[in-house]
Amino acid sequence: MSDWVYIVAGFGLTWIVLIGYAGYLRRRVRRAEAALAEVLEGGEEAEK
Amino acid sequence: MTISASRPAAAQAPGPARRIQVLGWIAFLAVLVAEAVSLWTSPPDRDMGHLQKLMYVHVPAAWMALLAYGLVFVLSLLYLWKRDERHDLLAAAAAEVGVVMNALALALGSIWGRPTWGVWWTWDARLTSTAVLLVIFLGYLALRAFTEDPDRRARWSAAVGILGFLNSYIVYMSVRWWRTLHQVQSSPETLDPIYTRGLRMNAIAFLLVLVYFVARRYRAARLERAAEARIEEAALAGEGVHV
Repeated sequence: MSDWVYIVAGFGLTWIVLIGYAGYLRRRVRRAEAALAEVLEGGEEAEK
Repeated sequence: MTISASRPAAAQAPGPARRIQVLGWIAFLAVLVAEAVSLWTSPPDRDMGHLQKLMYVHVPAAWMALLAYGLVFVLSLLYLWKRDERHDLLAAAAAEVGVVMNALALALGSIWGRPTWGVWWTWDARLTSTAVLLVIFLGYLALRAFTEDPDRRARWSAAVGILGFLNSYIVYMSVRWWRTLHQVQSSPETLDPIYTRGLRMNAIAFLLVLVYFVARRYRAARLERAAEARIEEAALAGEGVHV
């Protein structure tokens, strides 16, 4: 196999991992924001 | 341990979140530019030819893994000393990012190893010690996932984080202590400047990505912990918080 196959595989994998992990973090932050908002709203309703 | 559940600052302040997003764009742009410049400007190496270009992603990924684990070490010590939950959450964020970089460095090493050594994997001292380091920090994350009490989780994971980081020294020295397939660390004295420039550019770009990932992961942890603390607080007060 040509050297370039390995180079493209290496750089491609790097981007997949970096973009993939950034996407995972984005979803996790959004989920956490939603969960916290839900808990805080639940608490306010209970106080009423 | 101080938790501000009723005032989840991380959730209410858009400023830090926006700054983290901007940092993310800058970091990814920096990686793109650094990779493009180093790919186009570095000539083929005398021994490895164009395969040398894999150094620009493999080495920064490995450096960032060690840096992240170093951060875990310092933050774990700080947690055990001051018992401030922010240190624990930041250490956990750094550990997760370290695991991502560690796994990436191993995978890239494997891709580089196949055409240069003829094998995808070998039980070489550097490769094995790096894999052990990855397993230790996967254990760190598993420990956190399976320990519910926040105080116990923080103390135990701080201990694992400190011990885990000590293995980094073995990883670093493995190429000097044992006869390995993996080459000894290069330095600016042993590397041609045309390669050093590309490596430095990529290392800085990866450092920005590391800071972005840790900041983002820490924000998620703060939000999750604030929600957890609010539930605990409500349960103690006899409120009915619906989750």
